[in-house]
Parts: sequence; C-alpha cells; structure tokens
Amino acid sequence: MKLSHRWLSRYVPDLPSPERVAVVLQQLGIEVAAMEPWGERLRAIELVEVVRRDPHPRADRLYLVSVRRGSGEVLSVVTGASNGFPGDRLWYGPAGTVLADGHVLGVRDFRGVTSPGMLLSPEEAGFSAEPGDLWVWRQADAVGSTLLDVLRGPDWVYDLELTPNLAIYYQSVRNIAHDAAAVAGWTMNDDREPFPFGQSTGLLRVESRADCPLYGLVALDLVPGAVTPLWMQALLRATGQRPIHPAVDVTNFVLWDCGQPLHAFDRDRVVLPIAVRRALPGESLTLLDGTVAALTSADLVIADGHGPIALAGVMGGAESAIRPDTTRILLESAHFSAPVVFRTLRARQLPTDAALHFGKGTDAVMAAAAPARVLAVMAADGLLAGVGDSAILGEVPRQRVIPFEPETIRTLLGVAWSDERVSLALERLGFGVARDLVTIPSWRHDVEGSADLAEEVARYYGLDTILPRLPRMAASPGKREPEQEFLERLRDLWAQAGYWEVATRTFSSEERERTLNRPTGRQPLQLANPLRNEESRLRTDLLTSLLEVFQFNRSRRDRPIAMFEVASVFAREGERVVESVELAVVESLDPVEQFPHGPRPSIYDLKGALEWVAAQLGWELSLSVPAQIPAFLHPGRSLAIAFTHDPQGGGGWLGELRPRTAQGFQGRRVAVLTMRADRPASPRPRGVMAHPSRFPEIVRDLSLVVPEPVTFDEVQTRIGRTGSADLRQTRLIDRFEGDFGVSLTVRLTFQSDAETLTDQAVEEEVAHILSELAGVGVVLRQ
Amino acid sequence: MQSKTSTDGRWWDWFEETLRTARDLPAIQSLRYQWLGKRGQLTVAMKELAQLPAEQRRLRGQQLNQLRQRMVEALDIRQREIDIETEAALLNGERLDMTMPGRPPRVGLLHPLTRARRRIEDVLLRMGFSLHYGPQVESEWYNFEALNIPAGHPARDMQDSFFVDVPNMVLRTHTSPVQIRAMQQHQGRLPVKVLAPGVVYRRDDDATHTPMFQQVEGLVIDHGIGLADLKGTLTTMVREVLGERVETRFRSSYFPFTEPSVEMDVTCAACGGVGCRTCKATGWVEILGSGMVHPVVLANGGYDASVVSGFAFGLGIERLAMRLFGLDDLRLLYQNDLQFLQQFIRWEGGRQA
Ligand SMILES: [Zn+2]
Repeated sequence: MKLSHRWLSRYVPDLPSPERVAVVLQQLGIEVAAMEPWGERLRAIELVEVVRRDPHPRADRLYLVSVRRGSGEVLSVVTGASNGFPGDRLWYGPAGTVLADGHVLGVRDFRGVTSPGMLLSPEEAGFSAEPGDLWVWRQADAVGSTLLDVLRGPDWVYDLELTPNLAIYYQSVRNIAHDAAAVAGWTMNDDREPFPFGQSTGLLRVESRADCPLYGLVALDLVPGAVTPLWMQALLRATGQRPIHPAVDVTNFVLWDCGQPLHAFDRDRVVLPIAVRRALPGESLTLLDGTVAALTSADLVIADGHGPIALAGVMGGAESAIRPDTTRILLESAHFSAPVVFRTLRARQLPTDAALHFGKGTDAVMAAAAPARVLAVMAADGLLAGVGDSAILGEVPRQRVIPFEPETIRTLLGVAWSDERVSLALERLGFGVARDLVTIPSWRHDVEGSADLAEEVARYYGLDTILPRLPRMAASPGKREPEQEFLERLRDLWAQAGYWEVATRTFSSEERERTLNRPTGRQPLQLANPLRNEESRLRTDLLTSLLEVFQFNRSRRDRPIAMFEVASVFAREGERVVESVELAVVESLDPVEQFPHGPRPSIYDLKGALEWVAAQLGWELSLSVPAQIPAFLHPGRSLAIAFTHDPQGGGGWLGELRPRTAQGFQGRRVAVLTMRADRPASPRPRGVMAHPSRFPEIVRDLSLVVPEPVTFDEVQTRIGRTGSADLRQTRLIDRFEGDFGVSLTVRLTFQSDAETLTDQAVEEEVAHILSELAGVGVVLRQ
Repeated sequence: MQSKTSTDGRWWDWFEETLRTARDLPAIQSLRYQWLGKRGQLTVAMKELAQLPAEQRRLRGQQLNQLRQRMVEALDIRQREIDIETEAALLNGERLDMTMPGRPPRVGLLHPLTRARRRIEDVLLRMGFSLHYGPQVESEWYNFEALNIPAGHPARDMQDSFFVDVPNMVLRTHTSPVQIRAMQQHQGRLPVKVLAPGVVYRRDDDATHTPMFQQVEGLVIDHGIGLADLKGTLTTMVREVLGERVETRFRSSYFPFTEPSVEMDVTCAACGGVGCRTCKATGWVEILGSGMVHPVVLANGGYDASVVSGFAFGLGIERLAMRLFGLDDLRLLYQNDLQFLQQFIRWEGGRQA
C-alpha cells in the first residue's frame, strides 16, 4: 500500500519529517519498504500568460503562441491547440520537462519555426481538468508559479508492506493516523460522526441482513462539468491511482482515507427500489470490466427493479456505471459480511480495492459516517449541486467485548507493568477498558483475546521497552534423536573418506528419472501444481540427482569427481506417502592426469570406502554378485548390497555405471553407490579394547592358483573355515595372470596371545588351510 | 734393535701411502687383510716373536702392538671417510626436483548448508534444545489448520504451497508443523524445548527465493514464558552463532501461529550497520521470525494457554549460510559446482575470521 505524507497530515497537522514518521510506522509493525518524493517533475511546469496568437506561416493547423513567463520574458511556442488566446493563463513545460507519460520535452522545429518546450494539456501534465486542448488555469495563482507551487510542494510517498493482520485495518489513512498519533503523542483530527440519513421508504430493502448488516443510499447531484479538485488528484496520483470522474475519484479517495469502500451508481440508470440479496439461479451481470458473471446463490448482489446491478462489495455492473457526463448519483455506503465478500473475491478472482477491504472486514461505524465525508469534500470544492433522498437499513453492530486480563498480558510480555500502564496503552489505541472488560474498536476485527491485547501493549510502548532475559526452567541437556545422530555420522564418515557432500533438490520428473532408468519399485508422488515440467514429481531415486550434479560439473570442467548425499526419496503407497532416507555416492573413474602420479582410480576405491564406513557404523552388510544385475550397471563390475539383519528388505547397489548409461550424464567410467541409509538394527557392542599381544607375529605368503570361476570371496571363506584362532589377518597382496591362469598371493599373519608360535604349529595351520582350498581346486603355485 | 724399529718405520710409510690411495671399500679390505689378516705381514711378525729371547720379545712385542693399533685406527678412519663419500655419491644420484607439486591428500567436505545447520543446532543443543523431526510431505491439518491457518486464511496465499496427488497432503511450507508434533509427543509435560530443522517448500523461484529450502524451528513452552524470554534467548543464540559484536533489534510482525509476533534483525554484515544496498540503507537485515505461541496452536498441541505460555521462532538455513560464508546468491548453494564448494574448505567452522 502506498501512503502519502500529505494525506496523513490531513489528520495530523503537525506531522514531523518523513524519517520520523517512518520510525513510528515501524513501531506499529508497518514495514516501510521504500520512501520516495513525489511531484518533483511538476517543479518545471510553469504558469504563463498568452500575449499573442498568430497562425504558423507555413502550416495550416499550427499556431505561434507568444507567452509571458514569470521572469517577464516573452517567448513563442508552437501549438496545434484550438484554445489558448490572449489573456488566458496556461501551463508551459520548458525543454527538459518530463511529462506524465515519461516523455521529455525538447526544443523542436515546426516547419522552420523553433519551439522551446510545449504548452500543456491537463493529460500531458498528469491531471484531468475542464475540457479543452490546453489547460487553461482559472485560479488566482500568479504567472511564474509552478504546478508544484500550486500543490504546495512535493509530497513523500511511503511504500508500506502490510502483513495480513494489519491489512484488516491499516488500509485506511485514518486508522494509520490514529495509531501513529497514539504511539507518538501527536494531536489528530478525527471525525466519525454518522451521516444524518433520511427515512425515504421505497428507496431500498435488504433481504439478507446477515450478509449485509448495514446498507445506506444517498442521492446526490454534481455540478455539471465539475472536475476533481487538483489536491485530490495529486493524492490519488501519488498513491498510484488514476483520476477518472469526480464521483468515482471522491469515492476512491474516501475508500483509502477511512477504509470504507463506496459505490456510485448512475441514478438515471437504476430502477428503484434497490435490493440487497443473494443472486437467483440463472441471473447474470455484466461487470465494469466488461466480463459477464454467471451468478450463483453464493453471490451477494445489489439489484434494482430489473435485476442485479452490482456484485456487492466487489465490483459494480457496467449498465449502472458512472459515465463521463453523469451528474445524478446514487451513493452506496454499506457494511458487508467479510466472509461473503471474500468468498466471491476468491471464487471470481476479483481482487478489487473494495473487495480487498470488505473481504478483510471493514469498520461499520465508517459505513454510516462515510457519506458525510463525501458530501463535505464535494461541497468544499464546489462539486455538489444538491443532496436528495437518503435511507439506511440495519444497525452498526455492537462493539465486541473481551475480558481484561492484565496478568496474562504481563506474563506474555515478560514485564511487571501496572494494570494502569497496560490499560493506558489499550485506551490510547482506541480500546475501551472498564474494570475487567475491554471493548474492541469497531475497526479491529483481528483482536480476539489477551494475546492480541499483549501485542497492542507491546506496540504502544515499543518492543525495546521489554528487557531481554533467559527463561528460568529445569535445565536438561539437549539431544539429537539416535536416527539423526546416525545420519550426521554417516555424512561425517563419507566426508572423512574423501567424498564431497552435495545438496540437491527433491524435485524430479519422469523424464529425468528415465535417463538412469533404475527400477526402484516406487510409485512416484506427483505434484498437483509444479512450477515446471522438470519438477513435476518428488524423486523416487537419489542417485539420479547426484548424476545430474555430475553432469553439471562435467559440462564445466574435466576434473575428478567424488561426492555423496544423504537425503530423502519419496513414494506413494495407496493414499500413504512414504519418505525414506537414502545414501548415494558418485565417483569418476577416469585416469587422473597428474604428475607426480597418484593411485589409479578404481571401483575398488568406492567399495573400500563403503566397507570402511560400514565398519565404523556397525553396519552389517552382505555384498554379493547376484545373477541379475540391473541394466543401469556394468554387468561385470557390480555388487548387490543387503543388510544382514533384513536381507529381504532391499539394500542397494554398488558398481560401475553401464558405459551407455554413463554417457547420458557425460560420463565414461563412473562408480556409483545407492542404498538405504538405515540405522544398524542393533547398536554396536561396546567391548573392551584388547591389549596388543606380547608374542611375535609369523607371516606366510601363499601364492595360489585360483581356477575360474572361484572368487576371492570363496578363497577367503575357505581360509576362514579352518577356524584357526591364531590366524590374525588374511590380506590379498598381489594378483597376476600367467599360463597357469589367475594367481592370487595371500599374506597370512599368525599370532597368539598365549605363547610364541613355533614354525611347526604354523605349518600345520597352513597345511590345514591348503587342504580346505583344495576343495575348490585352489592350489599352491609351484 | 735399531734395525727393527727402522723396519717399523718403513712398514708404516708404505702402509700409509697405500691407505691414502685407497679409493673404495675393497681396497681398504685388502689392505687390512694384507697387514692384519691371518697371514698378514704384521700378524706373521707377531707370531715370529716366540722365537726371540724373552728380553727382546717383550720390547719387540710392545713395538709391534703399537704399530698394529695405529694401523687399525687409520684403517677405521679411512673406512668412515669412504662410507660418507660413497653415500654422498649415491644420494646425489637420487636427487628429486623438490619444486614439483606435492600429491594432495584426498579429502571431502560437508556441504555449507549442512555446516550452517549444524552450527545453529550445536548452539541450541548447548542451550538445552532437543531436536525433533517431521515429514516433508505433511497433512494440511499439521501444516495449516493446527497452526491457526484455516482454509481461506490470507496466510495460505503468503506461503504458496505445492500440493501432491494424495488428497489433503502438501509439501510442508515451514517446519512449524513439527511444533505440533513435538507438543503431542511431550503429552503435556513441561518444559518443552525443541528444535526442528528440515527441508521446506514454497512455490516461488527467483534470485532470493528457491522452491525448496531449509529452516530451523524452535519452540519453548513452560509456565510464565514471555516475550522477554524470547528476546533473551534469541539474542544469546544469535550472538553465539554470528559473534558477540552483532547487534539485534526486534520489530512487530505477523504470523498466524504466534501472537504477538516479532521479527529479529541483526547488524548488516555487508556494511556493519552503516547502511548499504543489501540492507536498503537501514543497517539491519532480517534474520528470523518469532512470537508467542498462539493459544489455538497451544491447544492443538495439547497445552492450555491459560496455564502455560511459550515462544517459537524460525529461521532460514540458507540465509544463515549466506551470512556465515559471505554469499550473495542463494542459488549457488544448490548448484553444487564442486569448484565453488571447494572454497569452503578454508572456513574453519568456527566464527568467521
Ligand atoms: Zn548494509
């Protein structure tokens, strides 16, 4: 909402500087997003007097008008206007003047005659005035005055951001002035006297009292040819509105002035009596904006003898609208039920100024008072020719009353202020406090209980007057839930293992997830109102998100990538939404060109990292090579991951992407890991750390010929099967191929806690191991 | 007599000359063998002592022993010299260009958003807040109704929401529904002191808004909690997170689920409070929204507003991260350009230097 400083000063004559006003507005909770001067443009526009008018020597429709400026200088300006004769006073814009439409005047040549700037029409200057090409000024201002002088200097405009609670009552200069004056101690002019409505029967009837507690009509006549006063045009312009017609402008002015929407009908185009009622089935109405609304019984309408003429509180009809020459007016001032108007506003998407006031709840006292303001403004500026019949139906609703609980207010604020101090704040803001009851001002539909009153007291004295303190309560240490503690540790471990954490968004789409084509078995959760097609669902798969990051980075530069994320994926199961946390890791396996050389990247890096992380977490995983490898993975370089505590529950996959799939993400060799990030089923047993053995280790390297299709896993299992208590470690130290096939060299480390092992004892264990290995055809290489 | 000692002199001269020209270990070994070995010249001479009369034998034995000792010492010294020369020659051949780059260790790093989130979590954990969580796809009741935002409430427009194809479910627009869930879990017990971090969604996408972002929600309920406690707690927290020198101010605001509602501003980091473009010349930037828990919200969580009161606050992790790391574009945080993320390794995780 735009607020004019000058407008505000109509209520507070001794209004301080805009900077000071902004501070007071801030204390009321009104955010001043910007403050700008208004009207500086008008400083250039000068009142001049015509001394001669001659035809242009070489153009039929142009004239040379000589004007005298305030300095006494006479200059000649070319115009095509049909008015502007000697003795007339006109508004002149010298070169450099900015017109209302943003156009900047220059020195122009009209068929050999130079014209510096222009004589202006009202529209060019940014106002409306009596008809005529040029704006002939009839007030007493002296030649040389500027348009800004006539408006008594520039205005300041505050750009206010009203939160929804403040919008209920601060879309009104009067209400802002009221509270600002209260808080800052300014003196305010306030007049809320009801208009002395007549008793004209036959003017109107209200069928839906609940929808419309108060409805008043006043017939009035405008002076023919009346023009909206310049000061009002300036205020409307400054606050972003366009003057249209005096009747419309005055109702708009009163709307923002005191928050009461009014409607002006063309009295000659309505057939009395006026009825306020719900629309009947089949009725329709052509609105001011030209659209035709098919009405329903949810719509409250104003109807005349022929049918609906306005959507009550939202928008008038085209038929009964004010036309340029309308002088006979029927002015409506009403109090409508906020929910009824809001429903129509919503359903029909008609956020008109009137609807945005009525829909939030207006001040019923103002409905009765506003016509008086209209007539006062019109009379003061000579627009009013006469006032006719008037009538009002209904009553101003009784003001609401709630209990006064100063102790609750003190608690909510955390202060020790007296009852008097609390009630003073409320009274200054318009509340009535009597013993244990608070009467709520008629414009404050937001106030319901003591919490709201506490806010008023805080606003009145300012939040700075509440001294900070720390709560006094039983102290207990804060803690993370074990599930989250686990996820944080999971993140830490992957970062420690050399992987970079990324943060991706959970949005995805069918097309995006198709690139990887990983069967997750999840039914996707679709967004009903996505921002864009690529974000039409919540992801069912975290790996795709990471591969997209991979692709993004690859498209920028060719550098090693190792990254991970622990985040949610989503699925729907019937009407249920299932959110589960996954871990995904992506690592490029392309050789790294660098000197001095580093280790060659390998899928075993990622496998090793997983094994290390799992060991730290107490994850018991079984990694196996299943018969069926999903299509997105390399069939010869992938592993299925299962949790040993829940082997059927689905774990995940580790492997190289199938190169064809990798290409879809601008990758060549890419290692990936995708798995559930479940917490271990049972917490890790907390053992006692063992002392190192005092006895020497004995090391034996066995070079084994391992026939196809025996895997290292089987070799290791066979070695483990011997159950040797002294075998401390089995480590693969080499692999090579020769004419004998594949050879693996395994280093066995033996050590006892009780004695120094003899060679003979170790040889016996090795023999035992070799006999186990022979069972799968693994033999020592000769 | 004379002849014997002059023999020793000749022997020594000859030995010393040979030793001086010995260039490597084998030459030393051979010299040692030639004189001191089993059949070495000196060894033989000492064996022959037995044939001399006792008188001469004693004297001659002393002379030969002295000579032997001198030779052993000279051989040892020369051998050490050659060791050093040999090693020097060897190491000279192993020289590397030590100006070449080192091989960096492979390291990873947590995302700045995780680090910013943990920073505020850690501060509030120390202040006795416990962490609570709720689902990202939330029921409309928890996300709106329970928080005093009934259908048709203007605040439902303020937080333009994403809906899903499951009826009555919405991508949560804030972490505030966790307030209700945490209160329900506490089942009326006091005090309630919880912290709820999480991902939230708004249907908004521009330079300052992203449709998905992270929030941290705080909630304190007990007997006699007031706005003064809110101010004290949040000021303490913010100083702990952003540094002791940060100034704070509170402004009236509006949230449907708090009454009164306030927003907290902190000194603008870009200008230090003097006023600049970032802070629209005010010297302040908003850091969080908060307020006293609305009676309706307390009731929906199973607490009676006539007996207890509480405050709640919520702040955006992205905004905090931007402040902590000195970022000016929110979208970079979700772009995951690894080169961009690598800069964050220099941030030590404590207060900004
Ligand atoms: Zn600044």
